[in-house]
Amino acid sequence: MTLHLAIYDNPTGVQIGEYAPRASDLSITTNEHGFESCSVNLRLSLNEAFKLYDRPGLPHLVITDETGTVAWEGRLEDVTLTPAGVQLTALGYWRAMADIPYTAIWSSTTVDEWRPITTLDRGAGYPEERHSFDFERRVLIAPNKGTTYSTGFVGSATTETPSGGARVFATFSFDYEVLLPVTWVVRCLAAARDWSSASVLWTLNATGALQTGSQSLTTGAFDRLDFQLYYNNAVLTNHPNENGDNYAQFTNLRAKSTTASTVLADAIASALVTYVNGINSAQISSSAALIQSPALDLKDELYEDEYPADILTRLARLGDNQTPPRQWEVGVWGERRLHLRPRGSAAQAWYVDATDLQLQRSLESLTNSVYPVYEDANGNAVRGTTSADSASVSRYGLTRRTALSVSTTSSTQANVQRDMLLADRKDPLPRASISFSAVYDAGGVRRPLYAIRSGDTITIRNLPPALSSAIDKIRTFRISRTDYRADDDTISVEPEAALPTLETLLARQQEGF
Amino acid sequence: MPAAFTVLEMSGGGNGISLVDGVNYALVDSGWAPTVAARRVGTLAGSGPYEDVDEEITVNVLGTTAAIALDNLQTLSEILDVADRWSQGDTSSPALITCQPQGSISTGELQSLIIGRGGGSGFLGLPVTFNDQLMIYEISNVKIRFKRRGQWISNDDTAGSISGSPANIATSMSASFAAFSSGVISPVNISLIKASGYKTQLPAGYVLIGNGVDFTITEAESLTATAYTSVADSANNARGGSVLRYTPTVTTLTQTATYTRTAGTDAQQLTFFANVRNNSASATWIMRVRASRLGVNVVTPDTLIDASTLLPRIISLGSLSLPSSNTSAVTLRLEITASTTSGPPTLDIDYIVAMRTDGNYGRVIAIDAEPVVTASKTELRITHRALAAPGPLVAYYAAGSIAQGWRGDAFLVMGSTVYVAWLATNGDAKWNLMNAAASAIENVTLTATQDPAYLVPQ
Repeated sequence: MTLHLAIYDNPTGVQIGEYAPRASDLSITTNEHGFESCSVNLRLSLNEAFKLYDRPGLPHLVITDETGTVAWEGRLEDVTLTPAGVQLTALGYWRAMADIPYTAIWSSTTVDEWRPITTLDRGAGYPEERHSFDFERRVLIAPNKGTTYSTGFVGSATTETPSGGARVFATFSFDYEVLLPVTWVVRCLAAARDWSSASVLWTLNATGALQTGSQSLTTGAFDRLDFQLYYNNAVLTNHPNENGDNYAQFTNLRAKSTTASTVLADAIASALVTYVNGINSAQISSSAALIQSPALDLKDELYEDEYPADILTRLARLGDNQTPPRQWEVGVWGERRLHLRPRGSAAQAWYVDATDLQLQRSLESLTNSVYPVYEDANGNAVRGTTSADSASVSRYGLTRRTALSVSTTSSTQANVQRDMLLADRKDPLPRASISFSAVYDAGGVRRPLYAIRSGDTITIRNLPPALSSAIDKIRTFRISRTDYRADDDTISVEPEAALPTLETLLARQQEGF
Repeated sequence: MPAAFTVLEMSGGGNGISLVDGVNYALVDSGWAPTVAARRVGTLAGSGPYEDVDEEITVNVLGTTAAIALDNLQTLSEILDVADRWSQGDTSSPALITCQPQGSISTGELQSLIIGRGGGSGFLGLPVTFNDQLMIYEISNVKIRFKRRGQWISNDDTAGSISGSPANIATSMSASFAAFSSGVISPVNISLIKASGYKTQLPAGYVLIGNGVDFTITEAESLTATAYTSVADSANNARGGSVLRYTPTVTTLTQTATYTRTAGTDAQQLTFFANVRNNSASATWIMRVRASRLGVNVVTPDTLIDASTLLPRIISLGSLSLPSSNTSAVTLRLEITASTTSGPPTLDIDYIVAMRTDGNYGRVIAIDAEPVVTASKTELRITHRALAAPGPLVAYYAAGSIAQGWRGDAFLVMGSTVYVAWLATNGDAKWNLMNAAASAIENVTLTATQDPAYLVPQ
């Protein structure tokens, strides 16, 4: 099998040249996000070298094998003139997801972004000092005893989309609890960021009795949401009741920038593809055909100046709605198409005979006994029940115990996290270095080494029968990174370190799953 | 008749010298041990299957006067300087070494491309006694060091037979060469000729090249099944007059009928291509091939057919591997998943190609679409240029080469028979490549020439 190297003026453009016969030191790498890097030296005359160096645009480099299949492709970012020609470095198109920062709100359930509207915002008609506000897990607006009110004085709290954001509000839902005398009015509005226009979404006239309920509103395309409270009479009237007796309280808030009932990672990924493609159309394909849905409703997704690459990596880490949740992967392989899918769903299985094997067992990361430390309802530290893995203690001849601090008052939750840490660390993966010179596919056919990619699995056929689970852990492993060198037809692979289940659990908990 | 004398010559830059003429140059005793090339380990394409090798030849430079001897030395250095400049891209004229041992019965002399400096301290090594023997018009023990291509290639081409002109461009054509004793596979040049000229802007396609009966072309309309119907499309010159149309009722995976590939039953790796047309501007399709042999079922990777065009296009469906068997045929079928049933959208398939690609059996050259209108071409040429250039060339030809973008290893090395198929559409609604007037399907003629190659001088 041979590899052909060609450079085009852009991904869908004209071939500048084909350079395989003049190439040396070709290295292509892949990682969890697809094609990673390609470096190569080309023996060129000065004129030819300058054609590559002094060229507008962002050339496209593609390496093709004998079956016409793309073995690697990316964008040519670095060109270095050398005495013998040029040295080229190309990077995979996942890089395109780190070109343009992204700001947008997709969903918010927190009250962190709510604040009172002040006279500085909207003038004398919005005196914040005449009302009380509370933003501790709720939005609460209340009149104060002995303060006078009229239609000229509105108590209002507001939130807004991030400045310069790509999306506006589309829906807003909340629960309300209102206890106000008659003549008082509570409203919800959507408005332009500068309040130059507004739409009243919901109005409630107080009855003097407790009024509760829920609202699910379509906001229209606005950047701002307001709650308002005012005494609906032009005559200034003193409020006689004690502080806290009257209020308008809003909880279980959710503001979304989509009319869909849920906010899913695939919708965000598709929007990011459109966003990046809208600015750099030649970098990422506009196709979303390879984006699957993890089916997790994401409640709090606010991005401010974040790169799509970071956003998507985090979303993939959240997993999906399966029990237990599957790990997902996101990246760009061929045709510059972004994919979002369960990790390994498109993987190939390879089989090798190791020609050199180095294993190192270390107790450095061993923990086979754990107890949680959490707080009771009174804030006192509680050291929970110790759990140990007897098989691990027996194998290593040692009990290594860790105290795990857990932010909870629930012993049940504390024990869940205790058990996850124990599962992650009771049998640490040996450090392994493996060499092989040939690879076979599931059909037993020898295939070129460069066909191995990140995400594929490798099974070492010539290890002794399983003596312990530690051996089994390296017999078959998923690849996190590959580095192939064409000059001597060799490849090095890095096993994937399994994402600790505790880390995944905590990330999902932060999202409310 | 056997060669009466050994031939050992170098040429380049308009100069040509014989290193064994005994008048200007003489090989010293034990002055040359030809290096035998090993198989290339690196996988970069375009330089042939054998490693480049270093040679060192020791000669005495002679003359009838001291000045002539020195001039002969200068001529030698100029030839080597041409090789040096060529390797750096400063000139398009290469330097060659030519050899034919005494007693050789090969019809042509063997040549190898000098591609650069060999190991050591430069092209030409002069002795410290450089001028000691000029009084007898001799410079002794001059070492010539260079790197050359690993194969010795005969300059007496073996022309291949010309196959007939098929009615469809997507047809397996073959050319055979006279057998020769070398077990080393030899470089091959291929031409796909249309004497009256191809259209002026040719679309993308694939040229498949194989050593044996390596690929089969199947009319897709023979694979009817539920939701898969045969539809006539001779108006667009579908191969065989019809296409297979998939009209989805579900967005889950569906299958065509099966077909059997009986050729090349011992093939272990197959690569697939299809000529398809997405008739929807929004629907996308996932297509793959399922193969079965000896009860083992395997599939190619999923290939996405997007909605970027409503015109026919050739797509690669990737490769799969099968258990080896000398007798069992392979059962094949297509599997397709539609992104939507709203419309409903339809996908047409004209033909499917299965090509053997394990070992050295098959080679695929992907031809880029011509970006602009060019002159009417008469040939598509794939030339190895083993004695002329750093790498091969794929080009259309119209009284001169029109460089063409391509991907794949165009340094073709084949056995005694080469099989070729050209997969291409017309770049418009036509399934087949048409003539310039778009009035008829292109008929092409395959010619192939093979340059016998050796690892040791013959």
